[in-house]
Amino acid sequence: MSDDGSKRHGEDAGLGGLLSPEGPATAEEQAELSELWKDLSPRVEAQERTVLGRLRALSTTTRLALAALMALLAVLASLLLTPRPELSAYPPARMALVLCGCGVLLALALRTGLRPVHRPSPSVQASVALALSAVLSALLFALLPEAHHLLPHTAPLPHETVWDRARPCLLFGLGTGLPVFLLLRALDRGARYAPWLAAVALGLTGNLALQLHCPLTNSDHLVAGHVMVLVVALLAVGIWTALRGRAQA
Amino acid sequence: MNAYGAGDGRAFEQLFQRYAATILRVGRRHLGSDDAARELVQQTFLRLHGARRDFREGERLHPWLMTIVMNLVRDQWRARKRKPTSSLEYEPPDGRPTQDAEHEGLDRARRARLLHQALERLPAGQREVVELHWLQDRPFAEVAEIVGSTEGAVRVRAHRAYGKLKELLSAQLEREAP
Repeated sequence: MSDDGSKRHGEDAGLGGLLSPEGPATAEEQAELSELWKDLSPRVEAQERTVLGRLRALSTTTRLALAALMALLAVLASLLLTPRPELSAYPPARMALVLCGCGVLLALALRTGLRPVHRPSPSVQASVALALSAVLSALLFALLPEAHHLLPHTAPLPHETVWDRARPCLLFGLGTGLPVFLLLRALDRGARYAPWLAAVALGLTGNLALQLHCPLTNSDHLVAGHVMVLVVALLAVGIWTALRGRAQA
Repeated sequence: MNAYGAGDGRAFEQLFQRYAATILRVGRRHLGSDDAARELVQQTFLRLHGARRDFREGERLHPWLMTIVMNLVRDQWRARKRKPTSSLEYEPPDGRPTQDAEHEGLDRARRARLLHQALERLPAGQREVVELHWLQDRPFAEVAEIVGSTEGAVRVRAHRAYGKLKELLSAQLEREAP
């Protein structure tokens, strides 16, 4: 085997050449490839005709810009349409920490999930690390000391449980993140772990939107209502993947 | 590829004619069945078609295409790990020893068969490096680009793979010795 790998030498060349896939097609292969080409052409044309096919054929820069724009719109809609009432009283440094933390992880999830197909697929370790970082960061932000005491109109009613107060936030987070998830699935060209990364993006978008919407800052509410957006999204993809795997088997 | 990216439909057919046979052979070797190899060719070109707008002028197509191929092959390996299947059906062309082989020692076909069997027993990460570096004669820098690693790490992987390959081939030859 050669040292620099640029060319095979001597006996190694002969031995490696035995299994080399390069070289012109044999007559038998030529016939097989003609059949394959006949099958491929209609599949390519069918791909071109669908909206999904056209979306997936956009350049990676465009796909990434579309996904980022969708996430930004979801978060901005939350800020403009249903802003948290005590926004001016919320510590700005803490707000910046949460927005930057979730924002950076969201950018990574979008970039990894929309990785072009001519780049090596992300490793399972990198994908798991990203999902874990997202959940742990959200958990860390939730476990910070309360930013402020409850505003009078946001104090829980005597009969209200943590879950009663968390449920609307969970639904709000899942609802704001869902368009990002759906768009990422629509733009996906078959990248490995893409559904998981889309779930991470859903959860992070939901958390960013909730950060600009929900005035509650106590840890039990943040864990049950905000962090759970990520957990539920990942669980849903896990269940869907398992069911699909079983159906394919 | 530049012509194809610019909308020349015939260029796609030319790309198919130029690379499909190579991909078919890679598929047969690593996926073990004709059907899987054919699907690999189709999936590769479907993905290439979908990603044509990502191709930049001046880029080299071979690493581009081989990254798509190896990503798909790795996905198949991973799926097989989850769902055990029967052993690979692939037999290299003329893989059985011929009558002449009795007299001439290791003939080409037998060596190809032994090499193929040894390759099958390498860990996936080492197998893909051997495929690209040795069998396809690609420089380490390009192999690193395709498998998404550094050149140094790929050299180490290749060194281990060749050591293991040598061991496996020696053991096979000993077993088959009369």
